[in-house]
Amino acid sequence: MSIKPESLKYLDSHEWVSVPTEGSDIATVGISEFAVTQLNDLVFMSLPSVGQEIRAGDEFGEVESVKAVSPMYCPVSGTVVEIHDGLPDQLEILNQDPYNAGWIMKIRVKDESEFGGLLDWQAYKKLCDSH
Amino acid sequence: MHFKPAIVLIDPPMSGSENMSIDERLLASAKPDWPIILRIYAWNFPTLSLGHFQSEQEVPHGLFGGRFATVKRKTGGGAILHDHEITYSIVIPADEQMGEKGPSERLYRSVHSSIRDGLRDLGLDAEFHENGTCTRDLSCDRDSFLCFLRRSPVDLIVNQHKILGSAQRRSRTGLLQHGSFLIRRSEVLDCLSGVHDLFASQMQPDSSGWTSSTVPAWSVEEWQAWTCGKIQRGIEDVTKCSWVDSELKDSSHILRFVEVGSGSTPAATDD
Repeated sequence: MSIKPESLKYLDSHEWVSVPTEGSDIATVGISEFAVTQLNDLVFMSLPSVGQEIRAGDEFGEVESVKAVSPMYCPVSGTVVEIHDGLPDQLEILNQDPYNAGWIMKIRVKDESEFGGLLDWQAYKKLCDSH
Repeated sequence: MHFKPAIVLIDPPMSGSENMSIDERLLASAKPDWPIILRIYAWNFPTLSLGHFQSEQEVPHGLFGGRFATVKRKTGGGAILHDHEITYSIVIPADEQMGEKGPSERLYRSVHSSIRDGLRDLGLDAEFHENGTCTRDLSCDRDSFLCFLRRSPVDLIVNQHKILGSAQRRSRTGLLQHGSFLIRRSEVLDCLSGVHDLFASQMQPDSSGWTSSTVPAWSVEEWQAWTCGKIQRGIEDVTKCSWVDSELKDSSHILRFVEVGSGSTPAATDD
């Protein structure tokens, strides 16, 4: 099923997370189209390990573009259950489809209430427009 | 208008791990009401600093005969041999105007522009790589292991030789920019020219023989002071800061201040 950016929640540091569907506790995490545009010419990405526990707001990986290293922050707490391990070798995917083919990891969400503290699409779009 | 305070720290030569640790601690301790820090420093032994995504296993076998120490940087880009060069770091506390992901193109460009203009005033034909005609014969390869054999648009080039490169790291607390300005050719890595070598190569014979009128016969300390001034101008153009004559003259003072955990800023605000 195709992910629409309007259905996602965001951090102000430009990571997105999908809200788990009914009966599931698995969320997908990535970086937004705005982030990909800001990063410009990605060359490296490091990913977390499957099984790694990450708290909301913690760094889960890093990206390098134009000699600048930027951390990626996890929107919600949970355990990494899957990583997109082919992505670092095909970073151009992020330019083409950051919300679907460019997903970065899937996590088992620990506390669903944390979604309430994230930005919805309208608030996130407003933030991007202010830059 | 409110100007953000900024301070200059001049450090004595230290080891690679000490130098990188100081920059990491300055970035980690940055707070919104803290001053911008420009740190100028040197190394007590020729040291190869590896870009954040480079590993020691990638160091080409037999490079420079192994006569150097190695250290990892937190910033990106390629490896730099720190020998007869000036290293700087800039820490700018987090500011939404600087953006939160990716490079601060403005800071790269502003600092490099200031040094470029200064070199032109001294008579050296410096330009950004994006405006030049660099050819492949000097290994202009973005995949090269060494930073100074790579080329990116705002790298500073003189006669096809790269003499200034910078790299960055973002964190929740701020932005760190590292840069290296080559002064003289290193005995350890003699394929790269420094600004002094390029001045010398630009000398032309006149009726009285070779003239050195355009070659500044400066010591490393004089180049350091000149470079510091140019970087300060570059930072001012991006951040609207005001340089404070702080009593914190080197990083040992400011790190002691950080470790004491004072809640006030380490430099007075200059409104």
